[in-house]
Amino acid sequence: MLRDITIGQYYNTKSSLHSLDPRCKLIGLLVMMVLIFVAHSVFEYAFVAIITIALALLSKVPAMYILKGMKPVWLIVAFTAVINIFMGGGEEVIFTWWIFTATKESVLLALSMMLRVVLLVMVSTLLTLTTSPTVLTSGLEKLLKPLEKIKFPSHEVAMMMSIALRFIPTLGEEAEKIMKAQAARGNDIESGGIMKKISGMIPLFVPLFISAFRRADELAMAMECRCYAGGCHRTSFRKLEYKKNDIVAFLLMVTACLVIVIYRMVGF
Amino acid sequence: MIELIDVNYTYEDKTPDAAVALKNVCFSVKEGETWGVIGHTGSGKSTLTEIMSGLLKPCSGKVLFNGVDVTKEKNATAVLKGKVGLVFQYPEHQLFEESVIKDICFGPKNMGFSSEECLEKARQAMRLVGLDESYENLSPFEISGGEKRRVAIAGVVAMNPDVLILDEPTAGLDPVGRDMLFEMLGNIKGKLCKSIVFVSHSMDDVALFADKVLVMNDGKVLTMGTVNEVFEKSALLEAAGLDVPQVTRLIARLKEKGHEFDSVILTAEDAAEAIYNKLKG
Amino acid sequence: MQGILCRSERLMVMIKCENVTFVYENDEGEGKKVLDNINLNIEKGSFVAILGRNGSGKSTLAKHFNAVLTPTEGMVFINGVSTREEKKLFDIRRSVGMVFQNPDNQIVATTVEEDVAFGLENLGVPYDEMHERVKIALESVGMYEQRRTPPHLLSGGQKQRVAIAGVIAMQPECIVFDEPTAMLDPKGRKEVMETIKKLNCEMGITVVLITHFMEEAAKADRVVVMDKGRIVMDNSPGKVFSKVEEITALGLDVPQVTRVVNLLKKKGVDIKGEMLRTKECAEAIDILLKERRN
Repeated sequence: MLRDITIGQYYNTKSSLHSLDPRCKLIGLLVMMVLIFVAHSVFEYAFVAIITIALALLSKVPAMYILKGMKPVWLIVAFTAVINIFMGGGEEVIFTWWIFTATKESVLLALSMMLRVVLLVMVSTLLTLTTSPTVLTSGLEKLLKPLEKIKFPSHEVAMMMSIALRFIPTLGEEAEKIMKAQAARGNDIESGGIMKKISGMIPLFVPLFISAFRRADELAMAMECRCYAGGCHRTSFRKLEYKKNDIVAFLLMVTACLVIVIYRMVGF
Repeated sequence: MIELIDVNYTYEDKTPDAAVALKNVCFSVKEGETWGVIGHTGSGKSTLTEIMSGLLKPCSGKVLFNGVDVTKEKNATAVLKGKVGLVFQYPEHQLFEESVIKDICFGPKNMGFSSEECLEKARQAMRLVGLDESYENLSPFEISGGEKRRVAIAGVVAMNPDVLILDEPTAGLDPVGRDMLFEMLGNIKGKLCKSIVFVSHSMDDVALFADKVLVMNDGKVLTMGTVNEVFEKSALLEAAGLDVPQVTRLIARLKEKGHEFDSVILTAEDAAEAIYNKLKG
Repeated sequence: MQGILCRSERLMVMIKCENVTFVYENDEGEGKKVLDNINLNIEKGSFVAILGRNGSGKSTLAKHFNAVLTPTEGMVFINGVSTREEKKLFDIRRSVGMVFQNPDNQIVATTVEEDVAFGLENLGVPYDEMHERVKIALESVGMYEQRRTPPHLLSGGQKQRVAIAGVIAMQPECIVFDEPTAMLDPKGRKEVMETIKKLNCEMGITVVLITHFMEEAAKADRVVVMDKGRIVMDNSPGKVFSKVEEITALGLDVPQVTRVVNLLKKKGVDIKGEMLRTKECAEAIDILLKERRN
């Protein structure tokens, strides 16, 4: 059902990954992304893959759950692989089919691209699985705070995210209700061609948008009544503090980067 | 007209989140009846309305419409389409067209009527809900809340249902709005629909407008019968955490104090009459 | 005329409306008088119900009580401060909190406790004090157990109690409730009404309750009845509801037992007092019936 949509699918359990500060995890994600992108030797790929698997184990989230969360990206992964295999160019032909030719280089390229996408998605899934959306939002707000000096609205962005998270289930529930009400009036979005399906969505979306605007209006008034006036002079209910674990995590990140840098310099 | 036999319904059946909504419900609506359905939130009232109108298919049990088992049909809504009309709670939130008349035509159009037939049905529905022709070309978003609700109800009435089911039609209305709504329902029942079923939280509304009452509790039928039969069991209703009309409570208190009243009294007029007769008689 | 209140009045009066008129202008620039020369004093510590039909102007009036709207003509004073003074806006909104009709559209945060903290964050309350105040507020509405729950999993009555806790945490002197139960089922309605009564009796908060349910208005110390933007009655609930014909003519209900008593009076039965509750009414009729028997 629509009301069960949970953004990022937070998996509630206790693990050393769960207990890390959200800012630390966000920076960690950034570091991992960079490492995954710069990797291009077998050693480097193995290195980032091992880190990712280690993180997954640390998170104490069941492997099946992580893989389920990645379901929507498998199609993209397969698609990039196919494109890379046949468009890669290269010399050593493995097989030819119609106008497409697969070479050793292109297959290797496809494999490495696949690995990259899978690892990237897995690392970001791990972040959302181990961090509740609210904590993530406040972490993001704190992390972006310095950007306020260049007029970046970090508080507003975080506020918007948090309100969106708050209202997605409510609007989902409402969408379901409207869908039922229109179905009772004979609206049919299951059968028929694409055009018919699209026109069948209008009776759903118009009322949904109107309701969303009405909610926004009322919410704005309610927020004003509770003395909301933007980000200045605001204190926070949630205190973010770096703990010992976070320092260890930062040290590990630095070490991981150093390993890659030294590997490149020495070039084993 | 509609008959539910041993109906069970469970949301998210066969999953860990399964939630039983209806348990062995038997209930039938005959021609000419007005049913009031009462019960707490989560007692299964809304699920019941959706099963009766074919939007949901029961997990087990039969739903007969004029003797035909609709659960056997692939698409229950298609069989019942137009014959059972369902008006949801706060129906004004479902309006979407640019004009009142177009919105009301939506239902008949989906049933496959020609434009002329749709217009004719829509105009008839507007008359039944008490909206005159001047509303036809107004936007449904610039009329008052009470009028919006009428338009939404007309949208279902225009499908000419034999049975009209309404989920809390009086929610958010003030006393005058409520009286007007029931007057309108009486009008619709007299001229178009053969039976009406409405869900309500208010015992007073049910006492006033329904002639039969179904009380739901925890997905099961707690009791049903004529208004008098049901309100006689005030102890049963109160045990289920439901209120009885204040007048009924007053008479019950007087009975406790040793005064005798022969019938169930639901309205202030009847109560005053009965007390007066005892004082004088 | 306007502006100056004497000191003693300021100590007693929470909200003062002086000749308040409010004209609502639609997109075409046509004006509609929603409030027409309202004069009203709401004393500190009182529980006032404002009763009226939909469209009688009661919600518009409520929005004047914490400067969401300012009057077209006339003045509204909160603790002696005019709502036109924009510099005092925060002070006004802190001393008069507001709870709205739709419980969903006033909860901002993704968990109960963070929502209650929202107002305190806005006021810049320090961390430790904030947590203390959130805890006390949630306990006083009986929602502390659910503090980590996301709002969409709560019932309507629970959501409304969270909204109330959010206002209480800001330690207001007065809370205005704008039809807080209109969208709730009987159970939620009861929960919210019990909470409101508790705020007034135990915490001494001034309560203004906007409603069209007479059962709720009957719980107040004072009922102000509005019709077409004017105040038409202002008295104790007993006095107001004993005027059965007038109230009915205004499109409002009276308690059913009050109606019974009124009908009996009309028939010439000598029955005294203002009856709102079943118990007192049954007792009075019992006495009459026993007298008759003897």
